[in-house]
Amino acid sequence: MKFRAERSEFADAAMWALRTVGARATLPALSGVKLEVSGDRLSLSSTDLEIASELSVAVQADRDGMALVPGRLLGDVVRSLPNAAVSAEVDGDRLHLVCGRAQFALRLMPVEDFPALPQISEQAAIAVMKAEEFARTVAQVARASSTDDARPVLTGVSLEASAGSLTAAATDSYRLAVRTVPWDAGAETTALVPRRALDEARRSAEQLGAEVRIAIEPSQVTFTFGDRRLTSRLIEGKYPDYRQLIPVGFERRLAVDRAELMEVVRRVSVVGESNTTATPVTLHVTSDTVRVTAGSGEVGQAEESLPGTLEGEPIEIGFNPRYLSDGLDVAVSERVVLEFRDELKPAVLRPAPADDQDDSAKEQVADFLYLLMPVRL
Amino acid sequence: MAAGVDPASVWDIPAQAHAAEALRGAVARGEVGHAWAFVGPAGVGQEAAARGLAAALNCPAPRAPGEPCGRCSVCDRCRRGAFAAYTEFTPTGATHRVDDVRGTWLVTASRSTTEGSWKILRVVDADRMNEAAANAFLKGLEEPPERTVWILDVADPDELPDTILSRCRSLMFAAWAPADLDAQGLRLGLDDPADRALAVRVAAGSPAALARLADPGEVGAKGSVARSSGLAYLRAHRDIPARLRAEKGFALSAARAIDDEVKARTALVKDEGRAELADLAQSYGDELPRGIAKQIEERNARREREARTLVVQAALDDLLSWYRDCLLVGAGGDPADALHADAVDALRADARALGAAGILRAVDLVLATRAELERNLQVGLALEALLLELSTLTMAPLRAGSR
Repeated sequence: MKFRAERSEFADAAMWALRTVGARATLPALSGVKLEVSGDRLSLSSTDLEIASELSVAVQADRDGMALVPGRLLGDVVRSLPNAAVSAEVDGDRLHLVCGRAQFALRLMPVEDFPALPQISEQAAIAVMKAEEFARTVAQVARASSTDDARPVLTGVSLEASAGSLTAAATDSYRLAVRTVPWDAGAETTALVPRRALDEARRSAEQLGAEVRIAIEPSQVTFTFGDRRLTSRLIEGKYPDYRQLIPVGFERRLAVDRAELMEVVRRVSVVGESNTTATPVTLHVTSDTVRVTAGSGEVGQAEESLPGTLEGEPIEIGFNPRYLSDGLDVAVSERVVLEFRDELKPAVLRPAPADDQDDSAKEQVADFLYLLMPVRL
Repeated sequence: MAAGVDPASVWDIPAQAHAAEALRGAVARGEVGHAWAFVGPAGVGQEAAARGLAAALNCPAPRAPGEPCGRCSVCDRCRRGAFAAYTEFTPTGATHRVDDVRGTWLVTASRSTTEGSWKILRVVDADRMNEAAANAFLKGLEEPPERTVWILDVADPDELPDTILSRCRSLMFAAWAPADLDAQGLRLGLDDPADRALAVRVAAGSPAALARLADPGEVGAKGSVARSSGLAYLRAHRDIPARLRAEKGFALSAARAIDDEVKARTALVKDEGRAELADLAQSYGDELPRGIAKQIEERNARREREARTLVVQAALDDLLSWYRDCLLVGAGGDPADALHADAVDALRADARALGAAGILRAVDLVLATRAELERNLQVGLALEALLLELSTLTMAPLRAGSR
């Protein structure tokens, strides 16, 4: 293998591929980045067996071939390259990198141990989304997933494609976040994606912009950004039927300023024991005021009020402050509505469209829902 | 295998034809199930069988149903345990921990495979799960993901809850037959037929014991400890009873010799661990990710501990087998049945000197020490105490004779 590449392009590509370098004692090959020259392109790939990243860049190729180089070392070298063209050549068991007057020889790892990376099959359900829209959807939903490995299905985000729409949902059984976005693939399919993979894809979407092409298959999901590709394994198992959890209708409906409520919850929850998030905040909701209280006689108490508009009977309802803040944080509209049945049934938080928004903007905020279980007071 | 050019079948596992056939048949019939318990002494072929199963289920071009081609990249990586869909879980410390079960095993089990259609998850020393780990694992075993096969290596089924075992199909892994060990002895370089026969008899069905006996030893180079050959150590052990009689103060020097042996043989394990760590560090560029380094260091520490215990136990077992042979020969049994059939004269001499009662007493003492060592007694002291007591035993027949 032998090629010449532009420094910044090569460095950028290497750094991107490095993000999914693995660490597993029994399979050292995962700690490597695979370089492969074919035609006039250099492709770089790495995998930690859960997520694989792959990208290709145009190079001046002198000899086809492939090599597996220690990922961390490659990263260190790439970060320190002077500003000059990079030429690389495999010689024996070393990759020689020359950049300006700097020379490096990287010991190669056995490339045959590197796992074959998944390809997108022809049967995949593929659709294209704006990167920004995709990133926002992930940010809104993924946080509600569980971090407890004891129930693996809850550590993922459920993607459900049907004609014209894609629904992303996550729950840790205390709260549930659901977002539906337009989707131009017709096929009906589902995938349960590990949260870490989606976060990785979101970061790439934020970094690279433009569009993301999403391909859902029975055992993997692939996010393609131009020449770059992230593929994730899926979580196997049955995702809970969360739709039956979402209450139909409500008895009370509170409209309130989102940022203001968030601020108040943050301040008031300070008196909760700082090392836990278990001390609930209580919302005392009357027709025009929301009084938020927290704390106990032992630690201290706090309260603060803010204006809000309630339709229906007054209610007192308690929430885990972190879960409530998370929901408020991702609701992304100026005002939110909270729908209650009673103080023991789940509450539903939705973004409220501002009056002066046009219809499409209204639609955009209406497709997000955050359900949270109250804390029994 | 019809064609001579075909590589050996993955099912060509020494001494485990029965288990191999059961697995091959299960794959061929499409009845692999979701969990197997490989029951039998550790290290008699479980690894090859588990990796064979991984190859049989994932080889893209099998020669016949259940018979992987053995030559493709998938088969090759399965055989080396480097295939992505094949994972081995080894205990990091003395036991499998609940954090590993939840954070690693069940997570791995819950993921789809991107290369290969079947996940093979092998739990080495599965009987070392502690209670919390076993309970957490049971949850995963109760709802097995599709195309996922758990393999539990179980040396002692009593150490695992029935709730786990009852969800596994049990497959017996037998100790090796003498013919298998003999062939292995040849491969390991035991060329002398008498040496090999002795090693095969003493190994008692364990290829690992045979490998220890076949160890050629090492002359102490700079910085490393000299190590005798495995058979030299064995011979030294069985000479102990005679030398206790003949040499004054031999008890303490024999205890020291065993202690030296422990050091020399543990050094080997230590060096291996260090070399592996260095190798891996190189793969990672400069230093290992902290998690991995810790994991490997803990595992190496456990291996060293195990190696220490193993050496002492082997020494005591050599003594036991020697005393057993003394009984056999002393009672007029056929010397050909003795494990130490190559040293019948020495056996007779010891049998005469100790008498049946003395031998039985010696056996009791050795067994008691062996049991004590399992409870973490200080090795050096225990050995000294044992050998001093054994040396008083050897005086007994003299007193008996003077009566």
